[in-house]
Amino acid sequence: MINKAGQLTANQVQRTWCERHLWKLASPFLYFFWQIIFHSSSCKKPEGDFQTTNRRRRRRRTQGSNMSSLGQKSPDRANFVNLLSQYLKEKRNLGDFSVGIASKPDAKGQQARTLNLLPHVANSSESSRPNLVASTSNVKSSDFFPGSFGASGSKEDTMNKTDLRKPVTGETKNAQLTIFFNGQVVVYNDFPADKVKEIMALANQGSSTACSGVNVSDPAVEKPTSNFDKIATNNTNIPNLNIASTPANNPAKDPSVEQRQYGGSDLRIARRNSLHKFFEKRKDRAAARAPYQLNYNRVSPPPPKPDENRPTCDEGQSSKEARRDIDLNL
Amino acid sequence: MEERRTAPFNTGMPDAVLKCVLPYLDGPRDRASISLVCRRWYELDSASRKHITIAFCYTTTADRLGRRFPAVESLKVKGKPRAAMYDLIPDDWGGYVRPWVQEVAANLDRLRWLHFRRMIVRDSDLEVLARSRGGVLRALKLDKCSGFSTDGLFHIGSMCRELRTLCLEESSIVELDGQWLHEIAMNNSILETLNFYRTDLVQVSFEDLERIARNCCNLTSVKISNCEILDLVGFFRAAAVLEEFCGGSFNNEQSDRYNAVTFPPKLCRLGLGSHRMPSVFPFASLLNKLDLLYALLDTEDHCLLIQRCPNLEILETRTVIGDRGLEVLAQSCKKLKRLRIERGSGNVSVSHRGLTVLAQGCLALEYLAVYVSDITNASLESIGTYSKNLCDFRLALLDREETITDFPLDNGVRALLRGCEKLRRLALYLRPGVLTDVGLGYIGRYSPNVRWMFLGYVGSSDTGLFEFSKGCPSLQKLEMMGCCFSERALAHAALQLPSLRYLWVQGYQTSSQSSDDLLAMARPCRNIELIPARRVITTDQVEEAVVLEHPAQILAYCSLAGPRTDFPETVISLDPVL
Repeated sequence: MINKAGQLTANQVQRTWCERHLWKLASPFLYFFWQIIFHSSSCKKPEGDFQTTNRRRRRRRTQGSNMSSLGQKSPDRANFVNLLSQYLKEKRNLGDFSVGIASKPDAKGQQARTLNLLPHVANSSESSRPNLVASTSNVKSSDFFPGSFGASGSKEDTMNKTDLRKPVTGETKNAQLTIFFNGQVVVYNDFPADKVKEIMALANQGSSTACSGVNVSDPAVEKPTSNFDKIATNNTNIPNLNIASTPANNPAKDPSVEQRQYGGSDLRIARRNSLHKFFEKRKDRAAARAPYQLNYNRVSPPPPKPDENRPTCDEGQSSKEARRDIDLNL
Repeated sequence: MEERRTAPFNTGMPDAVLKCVLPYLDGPRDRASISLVCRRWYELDSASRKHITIAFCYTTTADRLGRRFPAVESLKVKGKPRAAMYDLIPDDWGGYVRPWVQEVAANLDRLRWLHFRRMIVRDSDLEVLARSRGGVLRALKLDKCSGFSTDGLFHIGSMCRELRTLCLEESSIVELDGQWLHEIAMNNSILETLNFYRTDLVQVSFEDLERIARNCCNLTSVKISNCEILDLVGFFRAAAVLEEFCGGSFNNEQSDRYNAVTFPPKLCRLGLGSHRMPSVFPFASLLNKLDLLYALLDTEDHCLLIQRCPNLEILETRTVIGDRGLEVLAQSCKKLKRLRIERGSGNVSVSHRGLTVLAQGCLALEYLAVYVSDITNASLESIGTYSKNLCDFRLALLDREETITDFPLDNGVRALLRGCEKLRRLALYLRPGVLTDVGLGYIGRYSPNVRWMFLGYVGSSDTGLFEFSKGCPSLQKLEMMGCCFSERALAHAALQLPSLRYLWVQGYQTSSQSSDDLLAMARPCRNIELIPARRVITTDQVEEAVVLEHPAQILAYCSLAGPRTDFPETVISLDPVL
């Protein structure tokens, strides 16, 4: 509101001060955000008070100079649009790999709002974590878009976790994949689960011939975490465990230790020959008799047992089946 | 014949006296000590040693045996590594009995008892043995052997008329007919033990069994492959002094006919398939050995049966016994000495709860082998506290549970080792993270008498193996599976452990240089063999081809015989000279 004297009201003074100083303190992103909002909203103002409009225009110019006075590189709007179009192109080219920035392309102004394009932040992040971002062409977008820096926090977490494995929790289809190899670290966000399985199968095949895991003695890789050594030596178990020999049914299964994929499958432990033959014979016999359901009275009533829906897995059932077994070995 | 020698070391004892004393000393360690005293004692021991066990057939040659112990009467030779029982060793790996049979036939005139374990036997070897020693051979045990057929057994049956013991348990035999048993039935009247349990020999006839039972009045132990109990009624009636029987099963649906079956009155060791419990109840109180591995009983049936067996000393069963069965066992069977719980295929499992109760109840336990789904430090401590007679402890942790209650188990293992002072054999098959390097160091430090160890998935780095190898003063045979140790650490351990003479490892970290690290453990009398990683194609029960990946294996052993000469393609010898 402008008083009759044509001077700025207290509110306006206050707001101007805020605009000048508070935004120095707040995040530069918010500053830009505010600028963009202010700019876009000012375009829609109805023509009213000419003087007010003029003053606002003057204020905006002042703000523009203030912005440069913040000592930033101050990409002007053309530069901003260039960067934006570049990002969008690369995102399309990347295909599956998204760099973790949620872009909502509903309105141009709104789209612009959500991007954090401050190069100085990008530079600092790059310099402080040279190992984090691998110099592979696929992940180049992260050089430009340190919004992935937001994801780099979780990169740190994954470095504390195991290598050669996607830290999957639960049944999520896409998650982050971290690969440590030969002194380099590569991080992929939103990596699909089925591709991970392919990669792990490839790694198992490659490691099975050499019977060893990743070369963990590389000091460059050991730097970031203190307990990496311990985890790494644990992890070198993984290829061996993957191919742990058992005379069992499903050797392609991956009994990754760190993920504790236990529960129900004792494939890691070899079965004694004599017992194995015995169980195989029982299954064969039960499978042969499966169409014939006969009821026999047991001597003692059977307690309730879980039904596994398979011929001979439940031993309580199998005693019935053995009684029906007229397939004599002699 | 006896010369009075003035030996440099005069014991002051004439040889005649020594010869009277020596027969009372049978134990192999005592005899080994005697032979080290002086040359004279060595010669006397060699001339009078009656029993030899060759723990690994490639440590020496058969002719060395014949030269040193010409008067041996009982010989036991073991071949393939224990892993062969779990299908981890190639079939043609080795362990042929031919050189030993030839030596027996040529030089060992006094041999009466012969026992081969996990070796490859051919029909021709059995024929040579039967022709040369058939007149005097009293016991032949082909235990978990392979490579022969019923034709070879025919020779044994027809020519070994003095045979008191024939044991073929768990061997892989090609069955052509049942004539071999017929030969035994026709020619032998002094058989005491007949065992073809866990083989696939099914073409034997009941009449032959009955004839043996009638002819052999000392027949005390018969273990056969699976057959219907109703067909053995005549056999049971004839075998009046039978004490041990395994192998029959109740397959017939008409259960009332089983009431007519009467078991021999002295039967106290029993193993039946698919038990029909009322048949067993009448003499359950006499039982001191029970084999329920193939019995297909559930937990309730186990409890009902075990309650009636207060004199039970040996029990073999599967995990279906459950924690509840172990509670019943602890309450009812106070004399229990040996318990083996094999892995079953059902949902019921054994855990630390059952083990704790068992340890507190069965104080006479000497042998405990169990597959558990969960284990805690407290249960291991209670075993250490109560099972003071324990000589042999084997624990395997199944993958049934996602996470186990209480890990690492370092403190529990330490308490167990410190409590069970008589422990001589130890097996721990765990998961990574369950026993840390610290725990492995405890094993090294607190197992002064343990001679054999099997460790699976223990430790987390080479440090653990270094700590382990600082201890274990008595360890002679070490088998490891799925561990993360490097070749350098393995070589170091092999050199550090003072008594180690046999090392088997599967699943280790290979180094980038090919086997140079392993050669660090090479010594003049030490052989090192490698079975590289290999793929085995088998068919599973749905007739699909399945590829199994077997990791590489190392076998290192002390040997006076030099490197093997009968390698198959799958085995590579590491020769430091090359």
